Amino acid sequence: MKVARYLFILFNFWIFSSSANSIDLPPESEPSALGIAIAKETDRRNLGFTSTKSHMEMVLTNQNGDVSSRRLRMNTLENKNSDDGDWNLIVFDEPRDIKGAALLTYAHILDPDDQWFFLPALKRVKRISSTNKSGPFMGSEFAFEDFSSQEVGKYSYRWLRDEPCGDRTCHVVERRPLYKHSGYTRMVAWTEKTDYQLIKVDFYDRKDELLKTLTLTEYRLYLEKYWRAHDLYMVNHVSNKTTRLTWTNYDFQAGLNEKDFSQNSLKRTR
Amino acid sequence: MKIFAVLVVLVLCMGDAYCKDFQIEGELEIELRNFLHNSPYGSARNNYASISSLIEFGIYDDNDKHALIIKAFARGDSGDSRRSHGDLREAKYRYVNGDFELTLGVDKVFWGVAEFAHLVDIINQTDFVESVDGEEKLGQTMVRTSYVSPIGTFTGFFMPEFKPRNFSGSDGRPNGNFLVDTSREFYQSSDGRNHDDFAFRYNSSFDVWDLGLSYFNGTSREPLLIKKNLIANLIVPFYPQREQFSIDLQATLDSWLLKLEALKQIERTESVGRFVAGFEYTYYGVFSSLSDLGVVVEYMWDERKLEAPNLFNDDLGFGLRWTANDVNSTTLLAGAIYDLETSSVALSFEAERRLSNQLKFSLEARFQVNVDQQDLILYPLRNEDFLRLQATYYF
Repeated sequence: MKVARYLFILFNFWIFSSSANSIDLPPESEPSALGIAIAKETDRRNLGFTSTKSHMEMVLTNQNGDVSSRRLRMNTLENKNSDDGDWNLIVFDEPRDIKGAALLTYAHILDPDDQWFFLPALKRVKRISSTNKSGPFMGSEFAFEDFSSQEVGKYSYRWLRDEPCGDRTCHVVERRPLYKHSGYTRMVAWTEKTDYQLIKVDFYDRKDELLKTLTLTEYRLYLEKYWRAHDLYMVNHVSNKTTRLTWTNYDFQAGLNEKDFSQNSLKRTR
Repeated sequence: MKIFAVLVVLVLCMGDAYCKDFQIEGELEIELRNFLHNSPYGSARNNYASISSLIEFGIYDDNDKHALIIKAFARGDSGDSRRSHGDLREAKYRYVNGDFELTLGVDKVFWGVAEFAHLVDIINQTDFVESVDGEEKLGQTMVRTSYVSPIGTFTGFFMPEFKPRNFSGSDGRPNGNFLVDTSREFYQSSDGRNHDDFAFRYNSSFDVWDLGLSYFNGTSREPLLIKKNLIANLIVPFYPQREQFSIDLQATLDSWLLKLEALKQIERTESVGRFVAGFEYTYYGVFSSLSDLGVVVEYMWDERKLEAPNLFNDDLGFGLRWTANDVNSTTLLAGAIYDLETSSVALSFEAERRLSNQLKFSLEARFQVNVDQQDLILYPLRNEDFLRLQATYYF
């Protein structure tokens, strides 16, 4: 219970394919159609990754500059059914008092996710509520929904403009959550036009004021097809706290299957 | 057998060809307990200090198909002689092949969904000198196999060895106005502690439902405390054979968790029904903050009512859990159990906070209020209110 926190899937957030084929996008005079087409293209470029293993470190810095860190490992299984979300298993390593705790998630698009939490001291698997979308993940500036599997069907979209981002050009698209219990009215996302890498996201709170900004860098290409950002930096403009999230040891050939995402496998974590 | 398992782990690890992945880690805890009232026993005190440690070794092969795991626990207490004890929480070999899993050795298993009472949870014996809430368990020797099928998981248990429950002695606390003489405990089965126990469990999750169906046949983990007339204030644990059928069920509906645990137990031809049912509701982001407030309400029932040899026979449990969601994972937990027959109230309060990556503090307090003489369990414990402070260091 103490750590009955939950986390969703990170990958779709910054996954884009390298196949830089120019695609036919709707005209700018139809901003909704253009926005959804950009989301679908982003999604299409991540199809077929099957499963991944990865490690994550999180560094939390408060307004006084005090620092604390977290470590975890995550396994992800792509859902072959495109009308449903992916599965993942997270094992916590640090802080040490929650070492061995683990979270199993079967994500859905608009329905609440199915989640089980494993408490190692009691050896107890507990089914938990997944309605806490807007709460902080492990005390960080990332909310649970920020980790959520970014399925196309979770948002409505509106293309705003194209503009330079660094040495490239970005689509700037506004998206509004369609799922319940979101802490945001909307987000504005900068997606790079060639590889469909997500570069930056602004989050607007329930009063529609700018709350946080996420910046994604250190993109690397896997299996010559799948882009992953390895550095995610979240700044909270209200509290002035920041969280830097670093991914390492990405493994796209772990060959995981459904058996690795059962409640029995949750109890075997280490 | 347990020492043998420890040796196997060490030997395997020295021949490093087998020691693909070796882990060793542990925790060290310092604890202070303060009892608010004096004990009727001259040798018991009001303040106790103790130190405990849990050490874990693990050897795993490349893909975790084979694993050897040992978790050893020991405590030394300044005054409570029975509380100074050790236990192998786990000492097991585990084999996993796809849908099939085999565990040989000492392990711990949890069944159930409720918070105030763990009715259907019967595999492991309670480590009663560690904690009165029944959540600390002694390791259980077992052979366990499970199979994950498309319709759910089937698990079978064979348990050749029984551990009796431990109780405080005259120098320890909490203690009632009687002492439990564990040296004279006795068993219904002539096999005593070596009776072969069996259990079987099916569990499955579908949609919002999580279901478990269990069967147990063997030595009861809950002793009956028998009064011996010969010596005043002395009671002796008796372990009957038990057959138990149980169900545990949870529905997860948005922020609501609806829970049921029910069982039928048969001991010496007496058949008894028991259940706990209730809900857990969580307000996320309460008072416009980042924190969460959870409410737990559970009703506990035993067919024997006041005659039942357990605390939860016609009782209502009410709990509040506040989670700060801060960097230190601060958590506060307050609970009350109200006996609908005798109006006795047992209160508990727990607080936890992390100080650093490797250090955690926790505080626990338990009080009895308005204890009725009819209450067979709480009345003898009416002077045992206590505070407990723990600092845990992880290495």
